[in-house]
Amino acid sequence: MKAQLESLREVSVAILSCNRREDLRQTLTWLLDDVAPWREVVVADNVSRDGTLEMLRNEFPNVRVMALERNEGVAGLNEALLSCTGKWILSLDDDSCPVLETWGELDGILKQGCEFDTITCSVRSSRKEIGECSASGISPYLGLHQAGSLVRRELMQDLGGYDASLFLWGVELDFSARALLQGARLGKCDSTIVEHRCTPANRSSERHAFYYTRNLLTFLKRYAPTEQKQSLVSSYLANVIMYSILHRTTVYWKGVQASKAWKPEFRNTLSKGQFSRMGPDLRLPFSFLG
Amino acid sequence: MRNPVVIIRTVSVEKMSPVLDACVVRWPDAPIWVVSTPGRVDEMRRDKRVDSVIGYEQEARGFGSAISLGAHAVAIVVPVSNEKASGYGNVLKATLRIKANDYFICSRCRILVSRGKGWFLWKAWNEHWFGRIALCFSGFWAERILDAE
Repeated sequence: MKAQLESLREVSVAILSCNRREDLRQTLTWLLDDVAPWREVVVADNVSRDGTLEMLRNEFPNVRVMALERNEGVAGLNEALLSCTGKWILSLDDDSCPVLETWGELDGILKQGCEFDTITCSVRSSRKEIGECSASGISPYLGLHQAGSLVRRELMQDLGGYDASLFLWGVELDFSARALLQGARLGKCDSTIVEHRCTPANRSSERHAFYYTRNLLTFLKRYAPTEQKQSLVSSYLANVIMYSILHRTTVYWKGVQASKAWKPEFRNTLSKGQFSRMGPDLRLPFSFLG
Repeated sequence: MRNPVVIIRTVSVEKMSPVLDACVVRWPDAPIWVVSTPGRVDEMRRDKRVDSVIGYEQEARGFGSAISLGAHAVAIVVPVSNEKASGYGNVLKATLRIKANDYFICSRCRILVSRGKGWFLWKAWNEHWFGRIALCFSGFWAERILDAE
């Protein structure tokens, strides 16, 4: 019998789910392995219509389910995140799952006490592409991946979870920026792998492209260093023009318009150093082909 | 060193076979290099038509960074599953650093079709004039957006 990853007793898992029943089933099957004594597993379901809730009730009775009445995007995940009781919260997507055989090093680090407030795992698209992983410790990393990151519960509660007004997509960038501005220490553990299968369902939609465009532009308006803001926004909009032509679509333009009309509640710019170390991926949602 | 033909493997290994055939016929003297995700590198290496396989670091969202070769390619070939796809914007951007004479979309994964829009955009982008025009407009646009804040 394999040894348990004892530190995971202090880790709660929060998963946001929406109409991906089979993916969620696979994720939970892998997640609820004997070696991982998670403190709790919470699934927030954004009004799935594919029998997800029945599947959870029948097959995973130990999973705490939060059935939401309306699909309000990441607000649903916030409910799950803020209800967690573990010292750490592992945020996952319904199509992402820890590869537990690579979690030994992180287990050791968590047992000894960790100085970081967030730990982003190495998120890979396929289990088949996982080679040998050597121990690397945790290194500073100014970012976060919603589909595979551990966040201290105190930090999550201080920040009130992800910004619900963003709805979905790009919310991690906003969260990372707020955490940094609050003085949190963000790190990454490269040897700890989470598989994110990136199921195409619900991904290449017009809605995804719209929110992604809007949220990235909003991120720049909120947090880009003042002296770089003009050039960063300009370069982003150049991509909007080029990809609107390339993909023959107006959805990116609509995203920009929505960002213009929408006044963020707060803004606080990052320093040039923080922004460049953060290295936000300011791509348009290329998977949408119009 | 002869200039290679670079195929970006965006379709399954099985669907690559007709693409490789098409490239061998079109450029009989050029070595064929395939850019692939690390998990398929060995499989592609076993194919006798392929001279070199380059793995790239794959992020969950696709290409982790632009592909660099250190060689001038005869052509970049991008097989696409869907004939009507717009040339795969992410692939286009990932290949922008590769110096090449030509850019082909391999429609339906079997024939090298007219370069069409993919080639035009690649050319325009690679020579930067498309980007420069877009930047002129976007600079003005950005100013307006930020002034309105």
